[in-house]
Order: sequence, then structure tokens, then C-alpha cells
Amino acid sequence: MDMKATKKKLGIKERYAHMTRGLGWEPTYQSADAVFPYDKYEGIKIHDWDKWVDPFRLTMDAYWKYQGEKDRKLYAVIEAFAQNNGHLNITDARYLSAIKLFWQGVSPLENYVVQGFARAGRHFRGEASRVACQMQAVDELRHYQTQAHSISNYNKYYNGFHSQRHMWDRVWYLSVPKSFGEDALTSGPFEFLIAISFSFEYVLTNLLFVPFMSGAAYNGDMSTVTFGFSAQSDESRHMTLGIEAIKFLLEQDPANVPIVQGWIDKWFWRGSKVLALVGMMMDYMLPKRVMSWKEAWEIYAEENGGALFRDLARYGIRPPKGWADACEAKDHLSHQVWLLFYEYGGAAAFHTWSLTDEELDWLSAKYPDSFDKYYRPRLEFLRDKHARGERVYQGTLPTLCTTCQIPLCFTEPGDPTKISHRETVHKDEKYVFCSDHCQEIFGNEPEKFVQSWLPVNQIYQGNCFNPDVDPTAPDFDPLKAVLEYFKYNLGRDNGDFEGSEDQRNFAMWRGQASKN
Amino acid sequence: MSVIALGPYEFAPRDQVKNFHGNILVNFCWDRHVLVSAPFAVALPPAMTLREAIMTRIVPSIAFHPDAEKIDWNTVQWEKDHQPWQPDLDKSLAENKVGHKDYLLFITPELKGLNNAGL
Amino acid sequence: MSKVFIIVQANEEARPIVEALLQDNPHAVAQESPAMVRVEAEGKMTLNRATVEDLTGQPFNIQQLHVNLISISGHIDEDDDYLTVAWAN
Repeated sequence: MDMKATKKKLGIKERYAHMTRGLGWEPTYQSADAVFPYDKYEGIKIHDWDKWVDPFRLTMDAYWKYQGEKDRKLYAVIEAFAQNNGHLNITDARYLSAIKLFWQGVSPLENYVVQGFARAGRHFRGEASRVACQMQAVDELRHYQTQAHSISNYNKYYNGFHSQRHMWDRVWYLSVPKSFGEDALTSGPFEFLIAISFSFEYVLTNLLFVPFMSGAAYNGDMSTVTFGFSAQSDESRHMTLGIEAIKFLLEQDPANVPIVQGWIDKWFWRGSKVLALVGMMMDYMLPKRVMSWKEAWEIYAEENGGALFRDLARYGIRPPKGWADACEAKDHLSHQVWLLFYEYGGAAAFHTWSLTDEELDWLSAKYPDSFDKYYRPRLEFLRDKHARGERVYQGTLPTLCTTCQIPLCFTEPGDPTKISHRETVHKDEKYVFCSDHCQEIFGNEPEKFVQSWLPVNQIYQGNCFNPDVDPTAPDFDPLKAVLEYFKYNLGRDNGDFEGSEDQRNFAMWRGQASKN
Repeated sequence: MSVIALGPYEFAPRDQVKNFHGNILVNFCWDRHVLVSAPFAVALPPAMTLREAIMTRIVPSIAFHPDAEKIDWNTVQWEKDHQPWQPDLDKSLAENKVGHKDYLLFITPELKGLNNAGL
Repeated sequence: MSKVFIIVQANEEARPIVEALLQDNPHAVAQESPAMVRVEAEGKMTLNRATVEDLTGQPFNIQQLHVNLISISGHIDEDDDYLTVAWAN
């Protein structure tokens, strides 16, 4: 007998219901708790998993269709970029330092998030939440791959893009995003969700992908803006999921509220520290600047995050504990981090440089309350020294925060010339921190952070030299040995932009592109 | 509070002094001179005098600061772990009770930093 | 009242989306930056399928928004004919 075809197409709400509900089953060979061993121990109580709804109601069929379309658009651009020497259309080779840092420090984080969501997608009991996590895992894998493909074009011509996987596990400043990612990955699945989907994606990633990628466009980098916005279109779905996830947890049981609040406090602060790198990229590394870090913070953190937390107040959620301090830091963060990297410019696998008067004027105008008083004099002093042939390169290693792993370059809130330092003694061992909030994060989970792999401390323990190195040799140069262990091409990847191979090659190739 | 985990969760601290080959890790910060962008962590033998630690490890590291050459180390004021501290520069770190991962702040009130602004 | 926003790429596929948002939400404002357009509005903003279709003369699936979407802020309510972003405060 012929089946009668259904005439009407399903609407998206019906389609979503069919593709996310009733897909699971009650296990009989094993108890449900044995099949899903990780979704209760964090203390989160879920009474009805079917209350989880993706407001975009994206189903797997539509997902593949739209993701395929995004990729086709992106790869057409990448190919055109490669064929037409798109790398010579960027404003200036200094710009590449931002992309190096992105590739070294942000792209590997995408891979960590793949792992985290693949795990969450396995371990949540509710089918709709598992579908959402699986999509996000695939998204993040796509981000890593599209970044690899886009940026590989730069790797053909410029220094510092090689050995990413090797550097990620070793280089001192990369331990900042790496330890952030590993902290999230080793949390329970619900904490992971709040850490990444909510605190990072919802509250903070706009800062990374929106103004910075617009800045890439402004600087002529067609390839980066395209992968950036292609990724961000997924991020907007993740952000939506982040806010839905938090509403879901808060509505399921009042006992979930204090647990979630603790995670928001922790992960907002951790995320804001990781983004210090992005602040430096925006204010210092883009030769043409779209907006300052401070302006971006005001629009995307203060205004948008403020709206979010006003909305969550009805559940008993307040803004994160570090909110006021993170907002106060918007006048200082990017400058303090840039000055740190400038001073340690011999040990970074990207270039730093002296700013022009025009660039200093731009920063003076954007940061009227802080730049002329606290940062411009330092930058001008260092620039003068460089002009006299005395470029400052610090060779003595800095003190690191046990939690965020950033050198202690940040100052006390409201006191921009006083370095902020905290310490805690836990079981007779002393631990150092950059702030009250990093100290508190340690205090809540000391057993986790006593394991911190702090690069400076590891170097002093002798764990960061190649195996054939003899530290007792008379001509042993520890700093050089460490940089070789990082696989830097010394003199090409590191140091000042002025006089670098990237600077010379870019000028030469661009010259060839504009005349015979 | 502690880590919420399914099973026992105990690990040895990674930066115990025994991992430093006889040295201790000491943090030095020059107060109100943020042209030096971060405090230093240096590994030192406890038998070294504080003066030698300063002269060999700290003085060269801050030499780019215009105030550095004006420091009179005999009149420098100190804090150790945020408490006032009066070390004897010619005694060893151990005799001065400098411990692993201590934070030594040296204060030079007459030196005001770049632009007299604490930089 | 808090602001909601929808940010899309500055391209031809997204142009009718921006136009539809401005047409149907008189309180919405568009700001252009390199490679992107941000449409923001106090409280609430709706994208209607029918408006986009009127502008382009082509069928439009609300989920096509994903292809050129950069960022979005507010609670989302989506159905076949519309997508609304709103804050409850």
C-alpha cells in the first residue's frame, strides 16, 4: 500500500522536537548513573532535561547545510588570498605579530574546546543538550582547521608561525591560554559549560572576534577577517546556547544557583586575564586601529554584560566578583601587557617595536585618564633608548601568578604604580598571585593549582632544556638554551621588528608587487 | 573549600624547594618603578649573601632604569612578604631568613621614577 | 532598558537583513565598521522573513541568517516567520 506523503513541511519548532527529543532510551544492562557517571558529582540537580531548548532550534540537517555554505565562502576567499599574494595587501608587516599571537595562543584553545564539548556531548543525560554540545565540538574543530588553512599562507613567507604544537606546550606566555583551557577541560561537564559557553563565549568572545576581526579587515587582511567572522557566526550560536544553558541550570533547582555563581566568578576573571593578550593586539599591534581595547570593553563587556547580569538578577545571580576590578583595569591592561612583552621581546616568538608619535597620540586620545601619565613616558623612554642603540631586552625571568600564569605586571586597582602581589601558604608551601581574585580561585581549589606548570619555575628546575644540553658547560647560556628548547629560530622569530627579516622581506616583496 | 571530584584528589606541589637543585626561588620587586614591568624570580643558593644576590642578579636587570645607578643599597628600605624587614646585606639569604618564594620589595623613597611619577 | 544587537557581515547577502531590521524596528540604529554592520535597539528587535522576502523577491529562511551572522545579544525567540531578540529587563 502506498504511503500517503505528508503535504505540509515541518516548521522549525516541530523539526527541532523530532530531531532532539525521544532519541534516547532507558538503559537496562547498566544503570543510567553508570552510563552517565559525570553529570551529578558537581552537585548540579537536573529534574527535566527536556527543558533544554536551543532557541535557534538548529537541527543536524540544517547545521550541515549552513556550515557547508560558510566553509564554501571561506575557502573561496582563502584560495583567492593565496593566488593573489593577499599577504602583501596588509597595512604593514608589524600587523603579523597579532596573527602570530592568535595562531600561537588562541587557535590551540579551539582544539581544547573541541575536546571539552565532545566530552560534554557524551556525558550529559539529555539528548538536546548532547546534540548542542556535539555541534559545538564540530564547530570548534572547524575553527581550528580554517585558522590553520588561512594562516598557513602566512607561514610560507613569515617567521614565528612554525612549530605551533611544540610551542604551545612549552613557551612561557602560551602557558596562559593553555592553563586556562586545561583548567576548563579538567572540570566537570557543567563547570566546563559555564566556563566556556557562558563566561567565555557569552561575556567575553565578542571582544576577541568582533572588534579585532573588524580590525583585521581595516588592515587589509582578507583572510583573517573571513575566518574570524566565519567562526564568530558559530560563536553567536554558542553564546545563545551559553545563556540558555545558564537559564536551564538556574531554573532546574535553586540549589544550582550558588554553584553556578561560583563558576561565573571564577571563569569571568580567568577569561578577562586571557583577553589581556587581545587588548595588547588591538591597541598596539594593529597598524590601523578600529577602536581601543577600552572602547571594546565598554561596549561588549560593560554594556552587553551589564544587560545580561541585570537579566539574570531575577534568578539571584549577581555580576561576577571581579567585575569592578576588571572594569577598572580597562585603562591599564593593554599597556601593561605590551610593556611587559616589549621588555621581554627577546623571548617572544613575535616582534615588538617602538610606537610612532602618531600612534602614541592615538593612545593618548583614547586613554585620557591613564596613558599620558603612566604609559607614554615609559614608551618614549624606551624608544629613545632604542634610537641610541640600547634596545632594552630583559634577561631575568619574571614572577608568575600561580593561577593565571601571567607575570606580575598588573598594578593595584586604583594605584597604577604599585605592582599587585598576593601570597597564600597552603600546607606549608607558598603560592604567589597577581590579584585578589586569582588568589581566591586558588583558595577554592588548592589541590588543582598546586600542580600549575609555571614556565619560569620549570626553567629554574632545569626542565626546559633540550636533552643534549650540558648546563655545567662553561659557555652555557641558559636563556638561549631555553629559547632553543622552545624551537625559536633565534634572531628571526624574536626581537624588535626594526631590522627583522619579516620587515625586510615584506618591504622587498611589496616593492616588487608595485613595480617591475 | 576544595576540588569537587569523584575520587581522591591529592597531588604533590610542583614547585617544592627540593625540585630546585639546592636553590630557593626568591622574588624581587622595586617599589614604584614600573618601568621595570614585573618583579623578578631568581633561583639562588641559600648560602649566598643578599648583597651578592642583589649585585649579580638584580642590579644588571634594572640597569636600564635611570634611577638604578642612584640606589644606595645600604639605605634601601625593605619589606618581606609585605612586612617591614631589616636584612643584613652581608649575611646569607638563609641567615636573613629568606625562604622559598618569598617576596622582597625594595623601596627607594628618594627616587621617584621616570617623570617623578613612580614609573 | 538594555540594548539588544545583531551584527552581520557587510556583504550583499546580509544587506537585506539590515534593511529589514531597520524597516521593521523604527527604534533600531545601524553602525558600520570595517567589514561589519551592527544594528542595535533598546529592549527588543525583530527580523521578519516576509520583510526580507519583499526586499529581495526571493524566498528567505530565517536560519539563513546564520551564514552571515557575526554576533547577537539578548534572549532569542525564533520561529519560521521571525526571529526576535529581547532583554527582559
